[in-house]
This record gives sequence, C-alpha cells and structure tokens, in this order.
Amino acid sequence: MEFYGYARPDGRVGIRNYVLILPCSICSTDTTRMIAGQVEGAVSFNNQLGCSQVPSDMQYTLDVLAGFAANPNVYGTIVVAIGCETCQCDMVTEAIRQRTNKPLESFIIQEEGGTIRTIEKATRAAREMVAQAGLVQKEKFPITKLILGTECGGSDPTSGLAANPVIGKLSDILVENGSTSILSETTEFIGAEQILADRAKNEEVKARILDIVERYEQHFIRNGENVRRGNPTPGNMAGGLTTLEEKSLGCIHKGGSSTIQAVYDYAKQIDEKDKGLIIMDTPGNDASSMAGMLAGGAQIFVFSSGRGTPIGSPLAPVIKITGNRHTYQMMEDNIDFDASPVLFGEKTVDELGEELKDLLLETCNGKKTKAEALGFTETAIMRACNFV
Amino acid sequence: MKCGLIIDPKDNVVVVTEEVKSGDTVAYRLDGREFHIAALQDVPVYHKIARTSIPEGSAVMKYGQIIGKAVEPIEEGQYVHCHNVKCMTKEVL
Repeated sequence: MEFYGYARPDGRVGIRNYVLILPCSICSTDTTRMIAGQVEGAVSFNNQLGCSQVPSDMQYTLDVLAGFAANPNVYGTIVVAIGCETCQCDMVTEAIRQRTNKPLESFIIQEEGGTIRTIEKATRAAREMVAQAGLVQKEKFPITKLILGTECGGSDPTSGLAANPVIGKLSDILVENGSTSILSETTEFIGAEQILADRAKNEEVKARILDIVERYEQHFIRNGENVRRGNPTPGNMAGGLTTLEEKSLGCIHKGGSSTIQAVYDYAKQIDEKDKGLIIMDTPGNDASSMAGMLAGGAQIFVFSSGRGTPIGSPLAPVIKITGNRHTYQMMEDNIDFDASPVLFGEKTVDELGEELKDLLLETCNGKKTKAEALGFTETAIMRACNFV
Repeated sequence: MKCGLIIDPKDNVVVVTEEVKSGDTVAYRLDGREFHIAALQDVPVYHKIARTSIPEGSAVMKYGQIIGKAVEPIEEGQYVHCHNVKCMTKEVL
C-alpha cells in the first residue's frame, strides 16, 4: 500500500505542502493571519494562548506550537512573536529545532517596530519560502510513513454502531500494513479503560493506559467535579446508550482490534519506531484533541459525527464520517463518508472499511476533504488550569 | 419486518435500527444468515432488544464485551435498557 507525499529533511513525509506562519501567542495571532492572507500557500491558525500561563499549562501550548511546525505537512515555518509573551520566541524556535531541521525563520513585533514592519518582512520571507516549497516534488512512499488521527464528536448511537467500527476497521487495515493509527480522547474511554488495558503490548503500556485515565479523573476531582457522575447523560440514554461501558465501547471502536503499542502524552512527538495502534492522552474536546495529534505528527484525520460538525484542521485534511443517514443527507456539504449502510445491512463494516481506506489514500494523494476545501481550520489547545 | 443490527456473535442483544412495536418481528443478519426475534415490548430506534434470554445477574453482551448486568430476568424479545440493566463500573463520589 503506497501514497504520494513530500519528503522532508527530517525523514518524515507530508501529504500537503504548507508554509506555516506560527503565532507564539495571542498577541501575534492576528498578525500571522494577515501575513498568511498575503501569501498563497501560507497558512496560520488562531492561537488564544502562549501567555499568562503557569509552566504546566504553558508546556501543552509549547508542545502544540513546536509540533505544528514539525508536522510533515509543513514545508517550513515563520515564527512571529510579540516579544514579551510567556512562550518566548527563542523558546519556541528551540522547541521546534528539537523536533525538526526544516526551514525556520522568526520575527518579533516589538523588535521590528510594530505590525506593519513585521508583516512586510514576514510576507517577503513567506513568499520566498513558498517559492522554495514549490520545488519539492511528490514521490511514492509506503503507507508505513503515514500516521492517522482518529476522532469522534457530536456522537449519537450511530457513532458506536456504524461510524466508529468502520474507522476501527480502517485502523486495523493500516496497522496490518505497518502504519500508525492514534486512538485519542481519554475521557471517552472512561468505563472501558480495562478493555483497552488488556490489549496493551506489555505491562508498562497497560499501566500507562490506566494512569492517563486516573490522571484525568483526578483533574476533575481537584476542580470539585466528577466526570463519571451523570455519564451516560440523559441525552445519551434517550438515544439508546444504557451504561458507561457501552458508551465508551462505542468510542474505543475507533481503535479497531489491534494491540496497543504505546501511550503518548498530549502533543508529544510520535517516534518513527512506534508503528501500529497507539494512544494519545487528549480531551474529548474535538479541536484540542486533533491539535494534540497534529502536533504528534498525524498527517490526516478520520472524524466520526452522529450529529454532524463542520470543523477541520489548519494543517491536515479531516475526513468526516457519519453512521446517521439523516445527518448525512442534511449535512452532505460537510460530511465526506456515509457509514449508515452498516445499520441497514446494506454493506458490512469490512466493506465500508475498505471503501474508507480508498478515500483515505485518495485524500493523501490530493483529493481535498469538504472541511479542507471549505477552509475550516479550528484550533484549540488543552489546558492545565486558568490563566494567571 | 423491522431491521436490527448485531455487532459481535457473542452479543446477547441486538440494536434495532428502526422504531419497533410489541408484536413486530426484528430481523438481523449474522454470518450471512438471517435470524428473527419476536418483539415482546416496544423498542425505540437505536435501542436494544434481547436476542436470547438473559438470566438475572448475568452479563449483557454488546460489542463482544460485557456492558452491564441484568438486574432482573430478561426474556428473548424484551426491551433492554436502564430499567433492567446495571452499570458495572465503580461508583465514584
């Protein structure tokens, strides 16, 4: 199984070829939007964070920023900082350099003397970088170079019945062929974590799976909340979900049946040697979950939604799938794949898994998803606590 | 004939993919063969119906896994939900 991609000097392979204008903090985020708007082939994203954060909270932000620059879909990065933020420019460039040796430039608004001067210089730099990026040709690579991020959001019972099992089949196919597939959203395997733990490669991975769930639960308890109370929600129960195990089993189906090879913390760089099914500790919140996996190195996402959602990603194509026929008909403009034939016995999970694999390969090779073509780039970053 | 969906051969419940009324027959496919369940109760769309009897205290299986325990005897064709199934995870205060 092969796909066409762009070789990066760090050994990774991208399926898109962006120049990233990276805001170190909220104070430079609009400036990066303006720069990206001037240069065809340059992209940016909304960064609400990067300042007024305690170290444990700032680390998540720093890892996402560095991971975005290191993502294989990025040819090179232009970092833009205000100058006084917590996520200092040199801290960000150093964190990027620890992950990748790709082209990297930076500008600091307070040192350049305001936004207009910064935008002028960064726009020229971006224009030149985009011109160089255009010289990189696509080549054929084995599927082992691909990392898939899986996600569910706006779930209803059809998510667990059709869409997630089909994603799980895709995950198994990729794993059998030597790629990496990421199962995420730690809060959405509470109640089924022992099942996942029993699929761990060894005792160390098993302990890590249970640890990230415990850690997340403790986080809520410290805030005077309890994530298990009222779960399933009245809405879940009205929809047909009876127990927490049943709900979480529906969610973890995105992970198929493969052995779990490793557990990664949020937004950490996924090691090339970790092939197969891995878990990343991310929130159930869709945008921040995808940001974590993108920062880890995922080049593409498959995202199930029973209710339908338009969201995308700034750096990677997001394939939307639903098991709800009504939702597919209502939101066909935003949803790429209809998994409802499983529910009506028209097609099997295996058949649809193969079809989804075909769509995945087409998307890798250049077919734009609906979220991608329509320009949806929502980004959020996991938090440890409030701003200072 | 109403449609149902079984996920794993070990499951003792079937999910109905359309609204089911007491007296309907629910058809589902397993290993290429079609099986029928006579519905003894109404079952809302995407909810569960028992495909075999489930004794009190024994496991309710879906996705090939235990999703809960029957808190009363459940007959084949009965509606399976919060009224007759208990969650098995630890209660956290």
